[in-house]
Amino acid sequence: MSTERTIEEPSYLEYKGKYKGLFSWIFSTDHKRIALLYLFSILLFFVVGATLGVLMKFELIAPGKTIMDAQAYNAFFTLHGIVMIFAVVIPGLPAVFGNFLLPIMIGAKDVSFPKLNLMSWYLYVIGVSLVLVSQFAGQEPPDTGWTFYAPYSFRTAGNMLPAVFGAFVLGFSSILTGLNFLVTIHRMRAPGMTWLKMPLFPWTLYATGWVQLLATPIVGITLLMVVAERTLHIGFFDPTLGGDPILYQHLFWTYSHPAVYIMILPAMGAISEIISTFSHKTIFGYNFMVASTLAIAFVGYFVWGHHMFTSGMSGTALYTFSLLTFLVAIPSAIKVFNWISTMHKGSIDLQTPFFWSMAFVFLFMIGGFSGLILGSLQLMCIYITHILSFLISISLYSEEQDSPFLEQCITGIRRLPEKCTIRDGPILA
Amino acid sequence: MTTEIHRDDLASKTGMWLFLFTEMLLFGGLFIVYSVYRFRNTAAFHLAAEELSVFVGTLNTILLLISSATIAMSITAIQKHNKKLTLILLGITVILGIAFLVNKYFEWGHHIREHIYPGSPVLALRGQGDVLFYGLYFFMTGLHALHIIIGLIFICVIGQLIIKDKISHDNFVLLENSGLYWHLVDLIWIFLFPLFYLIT
Repeated sequence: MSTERTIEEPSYLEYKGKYKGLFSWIFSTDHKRIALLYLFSILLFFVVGATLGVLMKFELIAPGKTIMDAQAYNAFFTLHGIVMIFAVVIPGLPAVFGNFLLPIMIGAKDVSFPKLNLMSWYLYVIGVSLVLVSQFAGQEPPDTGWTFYAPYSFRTAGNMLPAVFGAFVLGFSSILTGLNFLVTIHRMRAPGMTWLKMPLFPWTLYATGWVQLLATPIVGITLLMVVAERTLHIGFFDPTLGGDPILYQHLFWTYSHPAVYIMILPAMGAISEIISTFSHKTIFGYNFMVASTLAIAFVGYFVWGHHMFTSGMSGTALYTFSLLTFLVAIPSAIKVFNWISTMHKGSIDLQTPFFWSMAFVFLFMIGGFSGLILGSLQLMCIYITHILSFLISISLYSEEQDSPFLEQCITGIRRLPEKCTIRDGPILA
Repeated sequence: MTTEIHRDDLASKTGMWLFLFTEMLLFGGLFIVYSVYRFRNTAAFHLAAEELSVFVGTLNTILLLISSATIAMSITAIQKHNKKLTLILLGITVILGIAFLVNKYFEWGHHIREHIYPGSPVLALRGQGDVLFYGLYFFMTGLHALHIIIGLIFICVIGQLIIKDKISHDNFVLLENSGLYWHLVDLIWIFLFPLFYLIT
């Protein structure tokens, strides 16, 4: 460490390493280059998912068949869901902005395991490729929706194996990113940066890392069970063999509810930074912001049942999950109060990123309040069929829109610093 | 470009422990499924478990426990600069791991010859409890065997690195991490063994 040079070093964008051109990117272990690799691959798959979404909306523009039949609609619907959830919103913030900014914000040179970081990107690309291949290889494209619900996921003629296995590989990539960030935050904070001096964006990445690490393996094994069910007819979730399809839903949502916090927590951290920066004030209630981040991640593990209110559970389980769901509102509300209090008497600089952040807070409040309505058991159960579109609009409001919103937002303010130096080791040391 | 090499053994070990956490959760999902179906099919699980050979299961448990001990000893050996002993101990670990897989092969082969395997019509006739028991048996021991194979490959790579002196008495965190992984594989078997062989 003592030999570190302070002279001007070339930007990571101009750095000339062992490889040239494209290879200097796809073989780079530099966290900033990997972040941009993620950025561009995620944007590419975002375009794929969005195109499918637009085509679905064209189909719905008039009653009856407009541009595709029902089966093709189901296939588009499924691929849109898998791509947008597993390949866009889940890695979107941690893998792009986390990779780029985490080491810089905690004063580290890179993440703890740069090679593993690059491997996560390769796994990501392999995973998405498998998902996309499932559309073209085989008899019929998958048509189960992104949730792969049993028993349909192993009864359908759709080409499920690559899609399910692709989602498994994407999960593995997500686990490794989370693991990398956790170790980085534990071991590589600059001297003097104690836990409660760490900026809020790294804090949210820390909470996200734990969610990625502790929740993703459950969906991993569940997806492997679906693969085994299709190939070997084991009977895990097949009622005709004694299995229980509801068990599949429990296992699936044990991951997939915490997954929404993988999407939203880093966004909250970034919003905290942006609002504080453009209000020219330190964040209001820093300790509470940290605590609410951890509380959301923690309580988030115990609310998966609210995805299954009408699937068949005991009354006690229903009430418990409903109560726990309401609990999430408390730390979420603390965050909104603190964002607004940060602006109070601040010297607000009305720049574009600040407008985006306002939009985030506004959308998050719509999503949060309607979440309270949906969390209440009776409303959810009685009106489930009537409010399905309501439900979908909520999830779109509070998750899928927030994250892309935010990506544009952060891209806007930070304009990813170009003066960062590169620290690039050979791939196989 | 700075040239100093960043080395942090504690970070490597923390990373390995976190990875083992995810492995435990991976198998944890299966243990939950096992518990649910055992609860629903108590009698069938009870009878099916009696058909498994406790002798082979015990033998495999002993093999894995010894192999865990030898890999732990190899970590001490390398700290004492004893490269030859380290390699011998790793070799014994690999041989024991392979012996485990050979036993497993004969065990599985025995069941398959009796037409007991997932999707078999003979098994289907025996009822849903047996289907689930053997489905879980093949899936869980199969996934475990896959972990053994990955562990053996790791240990062989580590052995190569020791021969090339890339791993030595003052830089043995890779060996330690593969030891941790091997202990995990052992530990999971310690839970699989009673669940499938002993609870009858």
